[in-house]
Amino acid sequence: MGFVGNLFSNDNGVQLYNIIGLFIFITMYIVIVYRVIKTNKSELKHIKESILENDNNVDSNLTK
Amino acid sequence: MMTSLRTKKLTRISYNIIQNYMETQKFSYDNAIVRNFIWATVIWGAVAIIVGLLAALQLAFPVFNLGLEFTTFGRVRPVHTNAVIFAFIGNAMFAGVYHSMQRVLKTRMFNDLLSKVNFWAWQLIIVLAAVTLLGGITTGKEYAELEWPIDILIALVWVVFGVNMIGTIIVRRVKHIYVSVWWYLASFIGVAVLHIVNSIELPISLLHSYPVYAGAQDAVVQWWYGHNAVAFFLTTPWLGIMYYYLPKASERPIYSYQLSIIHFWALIFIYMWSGPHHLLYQALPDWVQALGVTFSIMLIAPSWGGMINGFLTLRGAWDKVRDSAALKFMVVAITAYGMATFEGPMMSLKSVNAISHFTDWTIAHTHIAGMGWNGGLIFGMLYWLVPKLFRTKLYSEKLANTHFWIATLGILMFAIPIYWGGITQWLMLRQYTADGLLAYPNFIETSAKLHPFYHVRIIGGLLFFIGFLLFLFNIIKTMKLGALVSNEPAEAPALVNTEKRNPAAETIHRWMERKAVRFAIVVFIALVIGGAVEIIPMMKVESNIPKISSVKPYSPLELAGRDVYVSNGCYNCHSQQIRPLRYETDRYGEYSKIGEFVYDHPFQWGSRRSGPDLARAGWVGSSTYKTAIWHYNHFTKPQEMFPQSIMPSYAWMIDKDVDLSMIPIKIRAMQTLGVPYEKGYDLKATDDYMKEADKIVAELKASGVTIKPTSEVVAMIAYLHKLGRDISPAANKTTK
Repeated sequence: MGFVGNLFSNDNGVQLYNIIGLFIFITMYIVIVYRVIKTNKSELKHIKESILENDNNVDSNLTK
Repeated sequence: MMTSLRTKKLTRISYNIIQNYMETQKFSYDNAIVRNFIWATVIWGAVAIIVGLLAALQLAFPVFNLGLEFTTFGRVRPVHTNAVIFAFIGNAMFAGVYHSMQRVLKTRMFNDLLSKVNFWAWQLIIVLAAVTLLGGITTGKEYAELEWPIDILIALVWVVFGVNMIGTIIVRRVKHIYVSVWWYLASFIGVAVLHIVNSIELPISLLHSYPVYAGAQDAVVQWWYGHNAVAFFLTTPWLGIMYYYLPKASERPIYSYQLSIIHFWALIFIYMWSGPHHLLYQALPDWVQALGVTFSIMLIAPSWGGMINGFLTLRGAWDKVRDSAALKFMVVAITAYGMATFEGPMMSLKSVNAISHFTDWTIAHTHIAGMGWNGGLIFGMLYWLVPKLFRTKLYSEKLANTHFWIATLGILMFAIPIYWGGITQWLMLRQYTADGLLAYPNFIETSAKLHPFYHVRIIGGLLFFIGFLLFLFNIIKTMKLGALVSNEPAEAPALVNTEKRNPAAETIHRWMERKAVRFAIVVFIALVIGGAVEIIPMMKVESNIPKISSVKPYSPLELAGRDVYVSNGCYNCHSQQIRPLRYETDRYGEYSKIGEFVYDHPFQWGSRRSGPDLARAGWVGSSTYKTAIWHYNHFTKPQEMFPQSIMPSYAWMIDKDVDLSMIPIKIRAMQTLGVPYEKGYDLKATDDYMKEADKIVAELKASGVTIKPTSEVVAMIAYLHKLGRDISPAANKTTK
């Protein structure tokens, strides 16, 4: 934790926290959106419809 | 020979896999635990609303404080908030999670004993909370008022809940974890982190502790907790519940599963950054406030993504909404979610926050979210779930629809008057005469104007309660109509969960979510970044807390008075934070500085003013400075001094003594927390206490009042006379 301690020993650059936070978020957001768009649609359709099946007797496709 | 053996071995492994793959396993769902949580929800729901009604009555008619120390508004209000959040909404959340998780993951809960411990220990916590809060045992931090032994119990129960949840995910029979469970997992991790960090305190007795954080640091940690308790207890588990029960009740899949994934990651990441928007214009570094505002505005996007996903799920099913009370409540819930998640970011804009903070606007906002979003989902979920669980039809759909209309009207009649009242009060507080003087210099003139709004609010609350009684009747009759199958039989094929990822068949996200612990770690990282970036610099960087040399630690008498102030929940009505706004500095005096609060364990800035701010109550010459005899009379008979006052009488405080044996212990605790009392001061503290108390006693005697120096009133007067005194000109003159 020495690294963290040194990093936060003064407030120089504290004005960058907004920017760093936004940067982390936007990067994560782009990656997630890209991955989600690339995901197979039929697979997602199957997942979202799976909860509507009978709770007591389940289609074996769900384990795939 | 070797090749033949290897082929045989591979064939055998493949055969075993296929056998497992094809094997249908029989198991049963634990419905009894769901039924128990439903009972707890309806019982505590009724209690929470009744206590809320009492609090609303107290604000309109102070006689409802009943003249008892246990029933004053400052103690009743935390019971109401805790009962609504942790008892009513908490039990409903457990009911929803325990029911849906078993179905989504096609397995029984991991461990029945853990489920039972979760249930009974949670009820014990609720009872302990009610008893201790009414008894004046509190940490004085909003929504985290419970003292350290209960905090530890909460942490243990939460771990039990988490182990049960993660265990259930591990033993599931489906490969993909449906998005609802992601929300549940994030809720578990989020609440665990928030509760532990915010509850780090130094116990001084079985029922009393001081937080390790002080002043601005305590404020940042507390509102990081407060805001995210809303996020991870009142929002994220309920989004999981929405993503399960809305499709179930409407018999339509969620509109966009892709949107639900984006909604999840964006929301859990952003929420943690937004806490400081509760402290705008307050004694906090600007960079923390800016960070809170930025991320609060960004919250609109994922929140509305979720709302749109909810509404679009009902495409083509609106005819069902017409007939089904369950769906109607869910529509109200999603609407309230959309309203509250737009309004929240707007309230985090400084110009809007100047109006909403410290006024009833915030109360209206929280009730739209609590009654509309959480209440709507609870009623919607239970109207759908109870008949399913008891294998019958809802006793009366007509009664449920009547409940819907009464409750909706109740919410509107509750919220609209206090929005109106909040803005009215703000307009009055900032009104100036043509001569440049405050038009309403006495705070009580503005609060008296709110009485009609408070009366209408009571009618709104009553309507909501009448609706709740109809709901209670309908649910009980439905339960009697059917029969619960405690262990509901089910079957599903066994899960073949291979460890290695096949890039052609599986995305990284699906591989990641396949293992509960791995997924939990990723969620944890996404969650903690925001909190860490705000809290660590506040603790580590000294320049964030500029010291004021004239600010001295509390004297033993003042410290005891502060504890009385905290114990009676004075922060529920009085703030100790003057914002740098003209109409505040003209009314109360010099705006609050960070350095004033460095010895405040806990901070007492408050979030709502039903009475005036007290930050300058010790600054001689300020509008809130009052003499000892004034305070004495005001504590005993507030309405005789101001007929329009809604302050409860604290006459009982005269006869109640401060426990002097605790004074040295308190001083030592403060020394441990870094308050610079001289070494060995704990041994002299009680003598100093008595000397200072004797001065106040003499002052009161000169005005014709005889009182013991150990009376709590004496300590309270000393504490109030400390507020703001150290930075006042009089104190500086003395110092020089």
